[in-house]
Amino acid sequence: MIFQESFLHKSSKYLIVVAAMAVVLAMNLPLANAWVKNQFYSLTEPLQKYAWSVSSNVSAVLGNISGMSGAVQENNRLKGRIIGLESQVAELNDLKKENHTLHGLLDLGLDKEYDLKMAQVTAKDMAQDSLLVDKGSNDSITNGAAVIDSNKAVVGRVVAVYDKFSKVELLTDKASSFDVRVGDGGIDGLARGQGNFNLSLDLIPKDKDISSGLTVVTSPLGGIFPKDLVVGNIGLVHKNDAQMFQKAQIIPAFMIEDTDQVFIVMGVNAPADVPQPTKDSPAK
Amino acid sequence: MTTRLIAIFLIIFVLAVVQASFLNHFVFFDNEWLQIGNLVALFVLVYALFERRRGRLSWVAAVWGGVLLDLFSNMHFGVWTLSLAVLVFAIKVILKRYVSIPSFW
Repeated sequence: MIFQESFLHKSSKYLIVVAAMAVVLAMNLPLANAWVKNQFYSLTEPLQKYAWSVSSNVSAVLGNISGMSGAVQENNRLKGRIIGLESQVAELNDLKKENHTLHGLLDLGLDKEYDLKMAQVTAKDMAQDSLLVDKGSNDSITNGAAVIDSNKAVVGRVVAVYDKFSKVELLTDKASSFDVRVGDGGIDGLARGQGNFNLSLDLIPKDKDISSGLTVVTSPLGGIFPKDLVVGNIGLVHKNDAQMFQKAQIIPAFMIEDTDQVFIVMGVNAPADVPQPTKDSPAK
Repeated sequence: MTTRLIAIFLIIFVLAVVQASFLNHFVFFDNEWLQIGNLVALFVLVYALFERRRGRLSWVAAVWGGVLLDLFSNMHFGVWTLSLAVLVFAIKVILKRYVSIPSFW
């Protein structure tokens, strides 16, 4: 009896397992599968729709929050880009200024008159009336080379040369003195730097008449600068009976605050109208 | 027993619907295998772990949950049912043979 009950219990278990397997197999038949799923989806559709709409709303809210954090990131990225673009604008402005300077140089024909090398001013030493420019011995810059600006105005001369940089002593430096010529009358004098961007004219004989506004240019006598470079204009004239020479103030032609690019004179080209000796010319 | 059975049926049904219609809007893990894990399977696992040793409702939960998952799934019918049944069987065997505490089991 007990055996029979146990057998029935076991057999019912087997029966359940076999029935379940049969159901599973039947459910894998395409038609049965489609029908059951269709019925099931129809039954659960309202609940699924509700869950779907709630989920969409929640997802949208979360998406907005996530979007806000994305907007912050985008904002930071754009800020970085603005900084990059501002840097590019600054570079373009520098190029524009350089282009303008070169145009001025070409207009004056300085490139034909002198062998020039353009240099960028990298530092200004206000205490010593000197500049640091970005050309040095690597660019064949030598000590003593004259430095001018695009208006043919003397800036100074090179006093120290490094590999990539050179130090330019402004003509207003206290250590600077050079021969100059005043006006068209050929009055020679000596320009002396007074420091702090001041320049004075000295050694002008008393009998020579100089007045403010006259142009002062470099003289070939000193040999420091090429001739006829603009130094500045005469300012106040000081005449003193007790002294042998009269003095005057020179207002420098170059403007230190506007000087971003300068030209280092590497050499002076021979004037085009002067005939150059050739091989065929008769020897004297 | 009957109340618990009805509760299990309802809970698993709701979990299956939530799993199918709600949670698929969200991505919890980048790894696609980790996304397979679902609420129904988790419920069956936890229920089987904390069920009394002689309890059989975890089998019902596994079959019912498996059927629902199979209905929502595009895989062959029975894959989830079989998987959850094997899971419950494994848990039962492990708990019976290797775990003697806690005492309420």
